[in-house]
Amino acid sequence: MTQTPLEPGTPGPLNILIVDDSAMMRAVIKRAAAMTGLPLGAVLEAANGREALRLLETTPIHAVFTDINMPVMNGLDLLREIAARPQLADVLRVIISTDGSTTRRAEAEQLRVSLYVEKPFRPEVMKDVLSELVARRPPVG
Amino acid sequence: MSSPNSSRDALPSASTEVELCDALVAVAENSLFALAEPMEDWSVECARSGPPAAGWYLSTVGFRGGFIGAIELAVDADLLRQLCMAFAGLPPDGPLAEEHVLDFGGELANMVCGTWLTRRCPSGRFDLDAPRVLQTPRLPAPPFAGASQAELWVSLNDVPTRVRLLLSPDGQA
Repeated sequence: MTQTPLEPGTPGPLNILIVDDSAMMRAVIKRAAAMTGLPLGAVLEAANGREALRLLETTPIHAVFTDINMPVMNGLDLLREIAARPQLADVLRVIISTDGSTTRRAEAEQLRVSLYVEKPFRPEVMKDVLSELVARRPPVG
Repeated sequence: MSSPNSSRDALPSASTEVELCDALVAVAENSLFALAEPMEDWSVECARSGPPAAGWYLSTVGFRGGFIGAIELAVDADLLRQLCMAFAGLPPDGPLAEEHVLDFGGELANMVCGTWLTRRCPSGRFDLDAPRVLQTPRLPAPPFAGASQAELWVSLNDVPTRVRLLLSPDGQA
């Protein structure tokens, strides 16, 4: 895991997990996140909710970016599983999906999703999202 | 007044074609940095430019909710590869694996479908199937009889691109 040395008092690096069944979309999100220049730690990937859960159970992850429509386990089921695990209570949750309906947003709110990003999104949106997540991380030192 | 999720509201009309075009424009501008605009007469443009030498990629995404159907995109094969490179931030003259093109084709259809559904039925709830993408030398004939559909041609980076909406015959979930 990459650890970026930081000044005391600054937010710690963010380990993130990107969950999407499209490898291309995962790469786009990863690249957009890297371009923000914000303090990122490890950037992990999963193709569905089940793979994501395995990573969450074995690796310290601070924020999950997940699509909704995925095979094996969809994004909402993943978020329900996260919500059911007390050890994952502090994991920040972001949905990145083409589905921007009010119904889905209401479901997401019930599952303590911090931010909801609609695809397609401009790369600069990722900076806003990560800035907000980084601000929620406890400071280093 | 019918529910926004009902099939009656989804029946193709002139506004449906505008909505589909707007969805593709939004995806093109926000994710692809490409220019999309409606074509007035696709047959004229295709006649002038001739069928694409490399054929087409046909991407289909099914959806299920208040009504059932699918969005189908037919994209010039060379154009889809170019858009894929741009989307992934790859050098335009570099290698490109076919699996990446297929992945991108599916994601493109996924974004157009999701954008259209979100705008069409803002309070609806739809599940999208995994996209299916295939390469074909020419476009297949229209699907089964009885399926209501809307079809339009859009100029995507000056290349004719077809967007089609297919609805199940009874339109019910």
